[in-house]
Amino acid sequence: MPIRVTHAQLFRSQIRSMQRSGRDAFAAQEVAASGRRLNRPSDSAVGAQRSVIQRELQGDVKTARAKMDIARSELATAEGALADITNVLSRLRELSVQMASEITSASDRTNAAVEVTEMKEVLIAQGNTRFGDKRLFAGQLTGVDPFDALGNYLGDATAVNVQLPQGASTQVTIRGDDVLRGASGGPDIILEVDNLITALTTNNTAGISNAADLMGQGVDLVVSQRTQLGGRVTQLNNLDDYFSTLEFSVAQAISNIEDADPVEAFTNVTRTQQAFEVAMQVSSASRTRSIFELLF
Amino acid sequence: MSLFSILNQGARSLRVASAGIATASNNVANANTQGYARETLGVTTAGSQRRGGMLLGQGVTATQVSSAYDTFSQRAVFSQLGSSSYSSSRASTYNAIESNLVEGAEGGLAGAVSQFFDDWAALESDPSSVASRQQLLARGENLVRRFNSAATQLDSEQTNADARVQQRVARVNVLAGEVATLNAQIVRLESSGGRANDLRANRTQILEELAELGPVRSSDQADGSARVLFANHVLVEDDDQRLLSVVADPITGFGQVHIAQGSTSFDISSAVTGGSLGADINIRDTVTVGLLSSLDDLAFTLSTQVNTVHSVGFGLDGLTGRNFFGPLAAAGGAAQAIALDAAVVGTPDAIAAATSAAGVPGDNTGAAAISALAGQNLMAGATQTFGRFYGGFIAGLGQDAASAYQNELRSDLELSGAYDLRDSISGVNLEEEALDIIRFKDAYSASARVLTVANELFNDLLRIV
Repeated sequence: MPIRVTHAQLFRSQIRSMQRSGRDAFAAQEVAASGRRLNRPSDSAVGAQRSVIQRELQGDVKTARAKMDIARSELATAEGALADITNVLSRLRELSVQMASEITSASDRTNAAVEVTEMKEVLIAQGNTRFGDKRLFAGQLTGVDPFDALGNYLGDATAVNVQLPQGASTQVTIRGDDVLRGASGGPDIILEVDNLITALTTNNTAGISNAADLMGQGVDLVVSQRTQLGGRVTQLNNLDDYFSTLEFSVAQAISNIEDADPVEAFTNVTRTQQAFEVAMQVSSASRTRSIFELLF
Repeated sequence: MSLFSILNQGARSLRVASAGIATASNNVANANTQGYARETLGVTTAGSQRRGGMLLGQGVTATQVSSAYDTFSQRAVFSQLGSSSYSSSRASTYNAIESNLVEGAEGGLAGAVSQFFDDWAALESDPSSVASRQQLLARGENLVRRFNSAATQLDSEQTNADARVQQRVARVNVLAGEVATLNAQIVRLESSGGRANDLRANRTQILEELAELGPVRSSDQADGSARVLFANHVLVEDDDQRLLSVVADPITGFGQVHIAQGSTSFDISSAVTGGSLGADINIRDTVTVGLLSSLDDLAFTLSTQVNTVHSVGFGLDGLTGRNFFGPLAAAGGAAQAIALDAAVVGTPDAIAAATSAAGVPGDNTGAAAISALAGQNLMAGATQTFGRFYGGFIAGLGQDAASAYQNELRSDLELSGAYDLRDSISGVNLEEEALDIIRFKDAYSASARVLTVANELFNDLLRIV
C-alpha cells in the first residue's frame, strides 16, 4: 500500500477491481451456460490432453462395437443359412431312407427325384446367401454368387477376417465349397445329391441307400460348422459385453474431465456476480465524494 | 520600514499566493493527464533590509515551479509497460488460436483424425460397400479441411504478426522523432533557466507509448534532454534520431527489425524481447512456427503412412498404385498442402481396401491395415500414436496459453504497482491541492488586508499633513 494515495490511483484500483470481478463473473457464466468446465485447452492443459485421448478411445470403442455388430449379423445370417442346409440335408436323408425301402415303387422314386432336384436348388440358394450385397460363402469374391445353377463353386478359398480390438480378429466368412463341396473333407453334398437324383431316376436302391448315409455325414459336417460359428458369436458377445462396460466408463471419464458440476457452477455465478456488483457500488460511492464539494 | 516597503511586501505576497493557486489549479486540471508529474511552487523569503539598526524582512518571493518527477519510479513504469504490453499481445494471440483450434464435443482436428480411421474400420467390415466408401471420402475431405483450416489460421496469425511488426516499427520512428523534437525544445527553454515541466510531461507520455512498443530505457541528461535506448541501442540522443527499418529475411520473407548506423543498418530483432513489437516477433518466429511444425508433422506422417499402404492396395475396379492423399514432398507446409489425391476424389471405387486384385471385392486387408495405423506409434520418433501426439499438442498449447494469460495478469498487477509507486511520489492528490488552494487563498486574503492597512496608514498620515 503506497503511503500517498492519489486520484489516479483510486480510479485505477477501482477499474482493476471491476475488471477482475467482471472477468471472474464472465468465466463463471461461461461454465454455467455451456455446462462445460473445459471450454478451451488453457482451462486445463492436462484435462484437454486427457479429453483428446479419451475421445479417441471412445471413437475406437464405438467403431469396434459397430464392427462387432456387423460381424454378429453376418455370422447370424450365415448360421441361419447353415441351419436351413441342415434341415434340407435331414430331409434328404429321410427321403433317401424312405426311397430305399423295398415297398417304394419306381414311380414314387421318380417323383422323389423331382423333390430332390428342388432341394438341390434350395441348397445352392443357401450357398449364395447374402448380407447386403456381400455373399457370405464366397470367400473374398463376395460380389458374385459363389454357386452357379449346377452347383459349381465360383468363390475363392480365402477367408475374410475382421480385426477386433486388443489384437483379436474373427473370421466372418465360410468357404461355400467347404460346406457343400467337401473341399476340406467330408462328403461333396452337391455331387451326392446329383448321385441321389440319378439313383432315384434309375431305381438304384443301393445308390439311394448309400446317399442316406452320405446325407447323414453332411448333416454332421454342417452342424460342426454351425458350432464353429456359434463359438465366434460367443467370442463377439463376450467382447461386446466388455466394450459396453468400457464405453460407459470412457463416457463417464469424459464427463468428469469436461462437464461442470451444476451446483458449483451456479454457486460460482452468484458469488462472482455479487462481487462484481459490490465492486461497482464501491466505485460509485467513492466517486460521489469530493473535497472540493465539501470545502468550496 | 517605510510604508512603501509594506505595500511592496503585500504586492509580492499577492503575486506569490496567486502563483500558488495557479500551480494547484494546474495540478487539478492535469490530475488525469498521462505522464504529468505534480508541480509545486517554490517560495522563499525576499531577504531583509537594515533599518534603524534592525534587519527587517522584505516579504516572500517565488523561486521556481518544480516537478515531482521521479526518475527511478518512472523507469519502473517504462519497464512494466513493456512487460505488460508484451504479455497482453501474446495473450490475445493465444486466445485467438485457442478459439479456432477448439476441440470438444463438436469435434476438432482430433475428432476428424479419429473419425477418419474409424471409417477405414467400417470399410474393413464391408469393403464392397459404396456407402462406406463415400462416407470415408467425406470424412477424408473433412480431415483435410481441418488440417487446412488450422494451418490457415496459424498462417494468418503469423502473417498478421509480421504486418504488425511493420506498423509498430513505423510508429517507433514517429515517436522517436517526437522525442528528438521535444529534446530540442526542452534544451532551448531550460538553457535560459527554469524547468520546462509541460514539455517534459509530453515527452514522458510519448516515452510511455514507446515503452509499450519495445524495450525502452531513458536517462535524463544534464541539459534536460533524454537519451533513449531501444533494445539496448541508442534510438534518440539530443535531437538526433536513429531510424528503425524492416528488412525482409531472405529465407522466411518476414521483416527483421534493423537500426540505422551511419549509411548502413544492422539487425536487432533478437534484442527486441519486450513490448508489443517483441511479442509480435515472438508470435511470428516462435509461437506459430512451433504450432505449425507440430501440425505439419502430423499431416505429413499421417498422409505418408496412409499412402504407403493405400498405394499398394487395390480398388473395387481392380486397379492399384494410387495414393489416398496427394503426395507431400516434405513435412514443411504439409498441414496447408494436404489434400485428397485426384485419383480418389469423387471415385469411391478407387479406394484401395484390398491387398490383392484377386481378392476384390471381399478382401478387406488393406482397409484393416490402414485402420490399424491409428493404434501404431508413428509420431515423435515412433513413440506416440496420432491421437496421443495431438493430445500432447493440445496440452502444450493449453499450457502455453494458460501461462500467457497468467503472465498477462501478473504483468498487469506489476504495472499497477509501478504506477502506484510513481503516483505516490509524483501523482496529483486532489485533497492536497484543495488544501493548497485554501492555504494560498488565505495568504492572498491576508496580503490584501495588509495592503488595506497600509493604505489606511497612508490616509492617516495625509490627514496629519
